[in-house]
Amino acid sequence: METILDVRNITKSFNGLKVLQNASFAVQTGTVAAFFGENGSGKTTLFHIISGFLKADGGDLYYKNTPISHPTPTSVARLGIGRVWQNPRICKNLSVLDNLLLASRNHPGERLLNYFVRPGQIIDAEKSKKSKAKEVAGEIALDGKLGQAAGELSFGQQKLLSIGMLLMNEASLLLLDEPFAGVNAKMIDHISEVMETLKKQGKTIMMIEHNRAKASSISDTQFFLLKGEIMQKNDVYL
Amino acid sequence: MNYLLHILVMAEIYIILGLAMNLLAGYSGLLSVSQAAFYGIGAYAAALLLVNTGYSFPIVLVGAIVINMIACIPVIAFSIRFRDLFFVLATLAWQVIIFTVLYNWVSVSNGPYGISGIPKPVIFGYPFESLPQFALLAGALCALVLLFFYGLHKSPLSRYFQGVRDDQLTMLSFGKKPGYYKAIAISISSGVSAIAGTLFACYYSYIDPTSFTMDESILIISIVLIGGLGTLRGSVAGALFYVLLPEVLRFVNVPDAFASNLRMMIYALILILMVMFRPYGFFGNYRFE
Repeated sequence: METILDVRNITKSFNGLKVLQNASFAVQTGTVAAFFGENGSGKTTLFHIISGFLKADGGDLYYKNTPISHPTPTSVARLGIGRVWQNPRICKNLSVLDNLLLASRNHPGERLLNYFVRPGQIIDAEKSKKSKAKEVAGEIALDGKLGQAAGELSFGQQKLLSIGMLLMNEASLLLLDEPFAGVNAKMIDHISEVMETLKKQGKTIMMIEHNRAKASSISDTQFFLLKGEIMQKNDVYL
Repeated sequence: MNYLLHILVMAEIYIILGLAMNLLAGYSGLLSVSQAAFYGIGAYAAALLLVNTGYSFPIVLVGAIVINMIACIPVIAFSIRFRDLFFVLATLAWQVIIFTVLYNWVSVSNGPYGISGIPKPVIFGYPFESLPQFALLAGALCALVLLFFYGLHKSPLSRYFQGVRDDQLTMLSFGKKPGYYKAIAISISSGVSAIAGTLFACYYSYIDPTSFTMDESILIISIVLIGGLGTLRGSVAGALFYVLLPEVLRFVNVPDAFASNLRMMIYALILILMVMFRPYGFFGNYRFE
């Protein structure tokens, strides 16, 4: 199995406090990796670094065996690494459909120049992206709510929409920050079903989760963060 | 009849200004208080070109739009560097700078004396001198601007502007650069404000800096807040409300000595009531939190 993400010796400190110390691990393509740890153990900091929202003090990141030099949120997203935040980041005033379309990758309508040089391409792309958005909405069971404002969805549905947006963005590696937090048992089952489907489609998922039982049941690898260091399940006594 | 046509021309100018402001505040979440500065730069650019070069109206109009789009570069820089209240403060500073320059750069703007003798528009040899002709020209330009914004509203680009407004982190997470869309919104808004400025300069044949003060910027913001952010009909309704309400209040029987002040007080009171009881304005689909 191929390694999709290789994290080597990442360190990060805030005002002298070491949050991550030589954190190293690898995630295989098409697997689900769960990250556990107490609050403040550096899980979210790790996700921030991988997704380019924070700069590491040291260490290297490799995505599909290629180093990610100077990661920024946009450059990382364009590589195919997508992020779902603990509190879902969606555009609450836009409809579910517009949120999905907003996230879509390489829409010619993103660039102003295309409106002058290739307007036909924009119209065609809009049609095909809309049809893809409807498919994705079906996968996340939001196909009945395409016209609804995203802010009117339940918290769990907003999380599903965030995952749907990653799919529209054609992300290969999905970083999910506490996907089961703050949602009811039925929605937890629903989200985990969606994750299983994504795994079958060949997507790789990394998730931070406190619901250890549920996360362990659907993950292939478990990592534990202890005092800024990362250990795999077999390395630690629980 | 002339009175009604005058109101119509003013409504057309303010609809254009309202639509330009709506792109910034309503679609992109950028509460700029330097809109009167762009209105003023457009008016001065058109006035100077018409008075000094004798270029035809269409060339002057395009020239004023281009000059305004260049003049908005500092605001683009503010929008990338600052957010929320800091952006408001930065645009406030820009408004003050532009007003001060217009007021004191006497060799170019003629300072507080303003520029007079601005010729009426002539397009392909056809003059728009009389009030009905001017109202028709302003109406045609207003309709074109409205059509342009309708097209923009229906385009995918509108979605990215609203994405910037709603959540910039979301945009970044999906590989979109918020700064790019802010720059486009500010450039378009600034360019469209030049159309209103050009019409204003040609309509009155005289301009001075007092027409482009902070008060004017606040009035333009109030137009989109009253009409409703994020919709085209909101901007149109807000502009009509702003232009027509003082005229309606003229019929309130009060002594001339303080009629004007009373009208503004009633207008301000209505603004407060709107904010309290109708925070989305007449037709808005978004409000500042």
